[in-house]
Amino acid sequence: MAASTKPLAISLYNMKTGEKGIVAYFKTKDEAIIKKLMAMGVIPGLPIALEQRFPSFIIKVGRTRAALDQNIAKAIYVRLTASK
Amino acid sequence: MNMLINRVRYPEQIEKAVKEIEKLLTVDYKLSKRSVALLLLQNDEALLEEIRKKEPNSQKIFEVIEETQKHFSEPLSFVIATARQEAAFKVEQETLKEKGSEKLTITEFLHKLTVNPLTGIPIMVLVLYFGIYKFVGVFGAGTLVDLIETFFENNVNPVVNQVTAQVIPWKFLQDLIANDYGIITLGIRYAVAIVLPVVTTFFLMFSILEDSGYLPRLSLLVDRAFKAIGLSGRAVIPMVLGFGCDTMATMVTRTLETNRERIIATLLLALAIPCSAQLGVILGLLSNNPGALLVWVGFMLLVFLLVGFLTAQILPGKRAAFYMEIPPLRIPKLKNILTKTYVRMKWYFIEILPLFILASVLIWIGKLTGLFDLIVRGLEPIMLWLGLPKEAAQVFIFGFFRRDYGAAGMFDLYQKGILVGKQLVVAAVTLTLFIPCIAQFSMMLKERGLKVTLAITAFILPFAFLMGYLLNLLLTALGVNF
Amino acid sequence: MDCHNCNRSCHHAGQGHRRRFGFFWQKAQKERCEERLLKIALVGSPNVGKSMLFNALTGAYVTVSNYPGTTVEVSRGKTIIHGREYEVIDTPGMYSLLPITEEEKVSRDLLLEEKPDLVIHVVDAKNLGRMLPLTYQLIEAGLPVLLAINMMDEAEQLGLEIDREKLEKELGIPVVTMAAAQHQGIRELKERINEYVNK
Repeated sequence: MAASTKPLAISLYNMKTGEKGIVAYFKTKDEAIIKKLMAMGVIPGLPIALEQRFPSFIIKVGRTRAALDQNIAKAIYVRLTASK
Repeated sequence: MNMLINRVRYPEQIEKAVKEIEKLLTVDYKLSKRSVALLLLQNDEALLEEIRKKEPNSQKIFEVIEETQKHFSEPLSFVIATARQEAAFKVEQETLKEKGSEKLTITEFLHKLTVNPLTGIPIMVLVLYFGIYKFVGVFGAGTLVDLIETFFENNVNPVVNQVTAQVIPWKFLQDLIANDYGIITLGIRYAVAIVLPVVTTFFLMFSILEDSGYLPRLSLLVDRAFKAIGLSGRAVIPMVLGFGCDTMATMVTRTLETNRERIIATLLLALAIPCSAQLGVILGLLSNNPGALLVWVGFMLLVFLLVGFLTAQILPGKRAAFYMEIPPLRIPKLKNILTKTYVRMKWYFIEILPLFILASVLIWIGKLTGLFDLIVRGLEPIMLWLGLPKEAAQVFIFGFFRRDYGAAGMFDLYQKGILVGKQLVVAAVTLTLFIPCIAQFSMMLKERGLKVTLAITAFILPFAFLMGYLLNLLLTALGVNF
Repeated sequence: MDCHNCNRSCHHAGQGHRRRFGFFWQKAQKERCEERLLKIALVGSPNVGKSMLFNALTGAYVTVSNYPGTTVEVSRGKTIIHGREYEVIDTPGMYSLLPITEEEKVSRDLLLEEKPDLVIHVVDAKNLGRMLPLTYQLIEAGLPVLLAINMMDEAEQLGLEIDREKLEKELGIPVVTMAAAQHQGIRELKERINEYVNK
């Protein structure tokens, strides 16, 4: 997936608690995960915030809160906008 | 029928591709052609398969899809979903207005408490302790059961026995309805005196947990730990349900995503999760002896983790992914809780009760034909091997038909002084591990199929006895007796 | 209207009927056919209160059965609006017309096979933007859609307000707001259903 001249995106897994950004793209060979995430509203262009990392990742996408595991966190790439 | 179908305009290349594919479609898929074209571009497997089989121009259609993909660096399903989502957000922006937010702060605070591991885990332990042990175990399985059972013993059974003796002349037929193992005196009594109060209190508690929004938070707390045994946080729901009724929990395993998860969950439910009826009696049995109770809990936990871990290593397959929406915490509405509990109880009585009546009948036939005694005799040497009295054999056979029959039978032996000291713990552990009750067994057949069910049963049977043996050995070696 | 398509869904089937001859016979048949049992399908993601709405509409007359060939359960019930009977089908959770889970597959198959006369897309008010894509997909597919925005009470708590009329104009389909758990908006929903079906 080409990350052209836009600012760098980092994976959710590497974000720090409290950081915010916009969902950029997904990096995984597992299309089922992509479909699942999209079906639940995690789509590029949506604002995303990382609320917690342990024991599971907790994110807020738009107005919805969700929990996910490490594997999925590694697959979501975010362009940071602001941090707490 | 809607006239304005072009509601969302997709990127130029996609719209072009859609028009081309629409022209090539000949079969009616019960969807609009535009929709079919879009789904094909989004890589819908089922539809792709259909056009492969039915469309004369399928090859051309595939070419269009391939060509279109070349224009985009991301997958087409992506591009299309994004365009649609953007349109949706635009509409939302124009029609949904957000004012200030006030009482959010309390809910937010509570939420943070439940998910932060420092506070969340103690909360989880408290919830499970009060919810399962105190409410279901002590109140439901203890207080309520005693109440109703005494009523039966004093008021119902004697009457039934008398009436049956008068109406039916043959003893063996009397035994079918009344006396020790009759349909009414045992089957129905157990259903109303033990099952009803315990399962009701359990379902009540579960409905409260469900409606309050707490369950997803429980899931996210245990997901990591569950991954070690091949499950995801999602599995916490059938697991917790299993403490209420393993049969219902086995049915709920179908909500787990991968087959691997479903098998592991089913195995653990059959092996290590005592249902509320059984739990109630075992807690009653061991509560006099907190040391024994601790050993039982500890041992069961160990078996649960060990077997889960090993099975996860052995079974091939993809790991289960965990993604769950966390709804806001809310105060459950009484009406909803009562409705949910009622519906689940109804299901229980309609689905499970007949099986237990069948169990009464089978035991009756077994006793009549002497088959029962034969099996009991065969089991006796194994009991001795475990350091248990030979009377315990009957308890285990009963255990298949009703897990609580078994546990209650043990309770009788305990009261008669036949089962003492460390024998109690060994018997409790072995019985809990023992094969699932007839209702759960039939649900396993229905959900997992014959092969998997037989494999699980074939494993559990010797394993349960082996664990009993090992525990007995361990306790004897350590000189522990209670 | 194709009369010979009546068969099962015609709720007059099985009842004794007086034979009329010729033209009058055909007219009587046609009248009876126009009163066949209409189907409403409830569609939407889990956690939007779909089942609550289903209960509010159907009350106690519910049958739960497996969708043929699957282990997925589908609930069916009946509701009466202005004296007319409708069959209501509660589909398993659906996020998108592109199915991921078996439940979504069943939901889609159900929509296509059963040809409901009305598809009510139930969504959660506070997540409107997230759920509209499915509304669009349903409309794109050519299905008859009505948007039911549920959980308005929660949205209100969060300080959210929805301009229902504007939304209706934007989407071009009927939009109803409600809070099924509180039994609010159910009457309006029934009115709109009646309107839609009899236009």
